[in-house]
Amino acid sequence: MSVATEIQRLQGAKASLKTSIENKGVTVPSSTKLDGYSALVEQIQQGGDTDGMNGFLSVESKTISTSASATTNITYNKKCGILDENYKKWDTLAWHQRWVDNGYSATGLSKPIGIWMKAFGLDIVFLWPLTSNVSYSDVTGTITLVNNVFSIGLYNCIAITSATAADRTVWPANQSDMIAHGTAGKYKSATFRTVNNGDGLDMICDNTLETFTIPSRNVGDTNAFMKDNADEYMESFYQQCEFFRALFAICSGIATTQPNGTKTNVDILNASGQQAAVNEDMYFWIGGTNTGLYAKYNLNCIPNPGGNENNGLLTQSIADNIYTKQKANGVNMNDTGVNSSSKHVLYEGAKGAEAVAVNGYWYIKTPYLSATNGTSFAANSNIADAPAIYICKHKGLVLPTERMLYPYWLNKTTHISSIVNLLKTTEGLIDIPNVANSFCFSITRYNRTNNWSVFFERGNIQNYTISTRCTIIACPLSTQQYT
Amino acid sequence: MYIGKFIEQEMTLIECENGKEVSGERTLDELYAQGYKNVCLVEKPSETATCTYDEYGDCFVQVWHEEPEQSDEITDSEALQIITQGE
Repeated sequence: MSVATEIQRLQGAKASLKTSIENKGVTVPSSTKLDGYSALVEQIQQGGDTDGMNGFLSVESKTISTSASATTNITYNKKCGILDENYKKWDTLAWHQRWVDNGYSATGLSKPIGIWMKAFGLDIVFLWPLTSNVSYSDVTGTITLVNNVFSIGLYNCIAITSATAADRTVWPANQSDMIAHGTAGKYKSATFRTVNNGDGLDMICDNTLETFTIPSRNVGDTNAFMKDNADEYMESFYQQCEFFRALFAICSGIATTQPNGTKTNVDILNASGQQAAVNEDMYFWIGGTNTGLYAKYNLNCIPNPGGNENNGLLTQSIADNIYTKQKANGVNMNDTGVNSSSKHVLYEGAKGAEAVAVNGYWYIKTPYLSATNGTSFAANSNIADAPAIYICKHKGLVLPTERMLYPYWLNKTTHISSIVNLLKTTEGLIDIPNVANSFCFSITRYNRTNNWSVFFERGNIQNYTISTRCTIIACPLSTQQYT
Repeated sequence: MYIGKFIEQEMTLIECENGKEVSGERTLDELYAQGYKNVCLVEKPSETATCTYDEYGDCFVQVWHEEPEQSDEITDSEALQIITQGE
């Protein structure tokens, strides 16, 4: 073996050793000679690196440059850093050095979209608290516009996670006169079925003949800290929202030759086919034809599948009341009313009224309302269901479970605050949202009315009514690839 | 950058640059030897009133609070709220 080959072999072995040491969490300066490696090996923690396994990330300070003549201190942990818009995970020091090297300027650099950390044995990404460029109000347009706080839907509804041996009835069986396929305002069917589909579940709506699939049946009610399958919970919530809209779709009375499942728009216009003026009646129109049906929300009658089907939350009197108020305010469920531009009923990503072809007729789905107080109209409760679900689905994001969310609290006063302060104060990125300090929803169900949430002012984990509007800290899908 | 030390239960901050205090002659090493640690400051959020300093191995971290005196106890009204939120 030649001397050159031997040197090459040693260089390769040294490079491998450097990689192995760094994989154990010890930095190896490029200037380190081979006889300096033993000291670095001594720095490797016995039993592996357990920092953050209890949720807390240890704190050390680093002094960084804020200008040519000034410095400041930040907290630092190599297991927590900044995520940029290209889904690159940055070490905090490397991120800031980039800003320094760019002439103490963020101009032209990729923008931060959140914070990543390794805690509780999880790789977690917290995007900035969710904001929406669409404010929304209640369905009447009469309450103060809401922005950047969101409820989670299907209030008072159990999770459907098991197959059924027989059809379930969703529409009150004693109102069989409501079942009349082809007749405007009536339903095709009052039943649905559920069938196992691998690890998931097919929810088959006999009213619209559509099937809604949740990817996993492991999305039921649970105690705190038991779940980290956020993607599955998220998709389950979304599919159940869509399933419930389908269960209560009403026949338009307008025939179609389109195949089952075909979707089309529903317009909301006055009797003459024009935009309704304030206090003018509004009707569902499909393909230029007036259905003759007032543009009211479809009733929901299944607060508890398998339970009391006669106790729907959106009753006829409430639906009538909402319609009356919408007329008076010039707004409608499709945000096409004369005042809808200033009183958005639809939040970002929400679906308004739409129609689906069912055995030769268009059936109209409306947004689902499930938090209507059951017996009376309550303006601040009547928000179309599941803003948090639809806006995250629209943006391709998920809500974390509370187990994923809790490290935000544990590291809030140290690394989270330090990074946000670095970005906003030192680097001048003033548009970065403040550190979350209020109730924040997780995606994990506690029961039919409550989800687990984390209170970021004090650290409480508690179940919280899902019709309440809370801060949302979303995460990318778990399949997101990072660099 | 600032370094700090609790003196008679009050945080004493000293501004330092270029390895020594800005308004004095002591070096950083001398100040560290006197028990001072790096202080990680955070800009005051608008809704906060007071701050405290949490001590870690090599530094203090500034933490802002909404109320001057934060109680660890849950108040009756909060407890009632929590109870009514849960099922």
